[in-house]
Amino acid sequence: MLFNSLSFVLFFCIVLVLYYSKLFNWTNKKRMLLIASYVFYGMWNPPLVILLWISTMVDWTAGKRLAAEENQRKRKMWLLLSMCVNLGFLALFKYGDFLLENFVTIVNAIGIDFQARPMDIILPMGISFYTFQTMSYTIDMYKRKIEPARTFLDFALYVTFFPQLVAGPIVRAKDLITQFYEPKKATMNQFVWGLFLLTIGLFLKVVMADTLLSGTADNVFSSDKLLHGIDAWVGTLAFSGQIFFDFAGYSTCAIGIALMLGIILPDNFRYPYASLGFSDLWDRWHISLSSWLRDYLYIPLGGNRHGITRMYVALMITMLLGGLWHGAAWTFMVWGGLHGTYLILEKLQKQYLPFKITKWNGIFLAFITFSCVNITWVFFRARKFETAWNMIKSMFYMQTDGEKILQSFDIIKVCVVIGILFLCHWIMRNTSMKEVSLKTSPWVLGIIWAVLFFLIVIAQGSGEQFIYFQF
Amino acid sequence: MHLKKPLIIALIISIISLTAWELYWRTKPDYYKAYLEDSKYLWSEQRAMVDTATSDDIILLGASRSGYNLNTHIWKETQGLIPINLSVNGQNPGSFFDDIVNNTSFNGTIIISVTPVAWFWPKSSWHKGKQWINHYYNQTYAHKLGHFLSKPLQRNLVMLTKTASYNDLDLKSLINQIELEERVSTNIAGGIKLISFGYNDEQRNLYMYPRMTSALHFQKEITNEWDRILINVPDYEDIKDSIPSTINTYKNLIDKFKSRGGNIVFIRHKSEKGWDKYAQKVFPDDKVWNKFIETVKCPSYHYEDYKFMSKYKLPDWSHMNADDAKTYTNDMVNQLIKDKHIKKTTN
Repeated sequence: MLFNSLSFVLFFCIVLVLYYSKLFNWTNKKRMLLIASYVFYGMWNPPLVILLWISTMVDWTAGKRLAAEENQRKRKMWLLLSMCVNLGFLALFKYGDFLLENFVTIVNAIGIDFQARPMDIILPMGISFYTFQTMSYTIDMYKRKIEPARTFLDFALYVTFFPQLVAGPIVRAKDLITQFYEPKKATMNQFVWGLFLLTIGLFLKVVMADTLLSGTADNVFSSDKLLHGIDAWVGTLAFSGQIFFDFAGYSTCAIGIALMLGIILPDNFRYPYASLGFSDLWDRWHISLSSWLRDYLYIPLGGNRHGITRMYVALMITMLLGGLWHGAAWTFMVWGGLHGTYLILEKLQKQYLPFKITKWNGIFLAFITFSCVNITWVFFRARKFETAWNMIKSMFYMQTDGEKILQSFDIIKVCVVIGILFLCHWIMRNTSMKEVSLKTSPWVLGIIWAVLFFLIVIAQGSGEQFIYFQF
Repeated sequence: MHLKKPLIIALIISIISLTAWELYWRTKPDYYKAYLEDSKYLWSEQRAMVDTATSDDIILLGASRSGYNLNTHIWKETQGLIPINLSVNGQNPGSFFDDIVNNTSFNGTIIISVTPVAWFWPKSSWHKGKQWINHYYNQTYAHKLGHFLSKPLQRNLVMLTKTASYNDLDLKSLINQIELEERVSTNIAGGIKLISFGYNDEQRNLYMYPRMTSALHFQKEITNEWDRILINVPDYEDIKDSIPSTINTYKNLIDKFKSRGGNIVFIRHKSEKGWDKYAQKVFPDDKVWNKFIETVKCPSYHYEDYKFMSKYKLPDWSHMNADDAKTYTNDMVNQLIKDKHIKKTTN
């Protein structure tokens, strides 16, 4: 079910009525939320709820055993079981065809004639999100960083909680399960602020991403022609904005919806396009994934504890796997590799060419960072290397006579939207929406809210899927 | 922070502004009305009927001429059965025909309305239709529920007009109506700026707005756009090499369908000279339509051969107005019954 759909409006109204009615005690409210979460997921493809159940059962059992077991070998086995099941699901459902395709390429390269039919397995929505979330639970249990969930219901709800089930934020057990222990009820202010966040999130998705930017990005990236430099840049900028508005929109909706139920989810985006360098970017973009990768991949790989070379290797592996997390294609690996390279170059710069960031050079640095990020988006969005390489050639004028496919209006529209986006991020980079709203008069806030809602309604979103659902 | 006040202000302004927006568009009944618009969702409801259809059933395929010229309610009055309407405005019916032949066991009668500039393009032009077909097979319960919930809103609110026309009322269409200096020529099919000249009912029959019959300048809005776009269709000589393969694709599908007992009838509805000159430029009848009918060996009706098919004046050069479509459907069905391609039933 999509947040930007009438089915969700009806679904959420029913959930809210049941949640705030006096029919149920807290345990039954949690049961209702759990069932609602399965309905939310099952409305897309009911049989795939079974995967959620398996994941829940395996990690609940593993977590319980990890809490009780003292034998280190057995504990390792339980952790391994959880990892195998979770990563096995990912390998089969998400990477099956990719692995098969590469296996065939390698086998053919060494002279063996072998062909395999693609498995064409359906990709369960949000599988990367909920497997990472459940894995964090068992890993933390193994490291004895957290207490086991008190009840199966609490754990099942942690795995399945519908606001963040299919596209995050990826929430750690300590941050979410513990909230289920005591009855939760949003205060009036929390409820209204949650509704405001839901409006903002829908506005970002329906108006900014789908209405203003997606068409231009799709035109450019679906073109099989060598494009004019301006068209290539504008298409890339459009995608850059689209993916931010789409994903930040989803996260904002998720946070708002949870808040309306009295549950607090962590921020997932903090104005990333005004980042001063790439470490800063990863502290601001998809924060729940980057902190997951840091804690469960980069640090176990050695982090910065074993010298510079090892640190660079750990960084690169983390970013390459981070790229692969997004999708089963080499283009995503290149995307991750570019980010890894940027991070390494930034660390080298800080070591050998340090300089102080002032308010004067800051915006310039943010602009450079944003420009470099745009280059990575080419590989993220292009379905084939050939398309990506053609785009890069066009963007850096490595070929002349590129074809023009965008109208002047499209170019102006994208440049204005992205320009405003960049400036907003720059202005907001050290503050938050909540802080700004506190300083804003109720009238202005009310008018802004009404304008956003009006635009959402007249945009008439056709229920476009969020980009990150495919990851 | 007290948020009650902003919420109340937002609610009041939203209600006022949306009401004003709706009332404004209601003042333009020549162009807009509230109705359940045709979409892949509504099409899927008709497509689902194919899976339980019998050999007595009839399916209508075609592009907009099928939708505007053949009315399924009149068809039912005349023949006794309501046909399944799978015509799709602006799309090559080839992909839908392929779907019925290859993905169903339907063995009734298919009436295919042929608009040459849609039907005879190569298979690569099927991609748009395939999106609808894929939607039918992949639609989720959430999609179905969403469409069900949207029906009362669409039936009652004019501001929800969204028909893939140039003058739609969704924000994206409204923004795209802002025109600056052209950087890329829009005189190509992708740049079509066709203002909506019709609406549909819930059985997906298309009806021309009365304005199209009443005033020449409304007709000009459409025919000028046909002229602007169609002038760019290629010459027959440039595309003739692709035609044998297109005809062969259809022949294979038709043979497969006939081998399981199905019947197919082709109809060439009228188009006015203004439109037909472009159709003949790219797909001249003597080299394409005649060859096609000769190859596939199916019964066919060409408007030039039947007086009842050619007697109407088409306001936009390509489609009939709502009143003419009623008598035309009646005559067409009677002709099909007379020629024993379909049977009159008492249902």
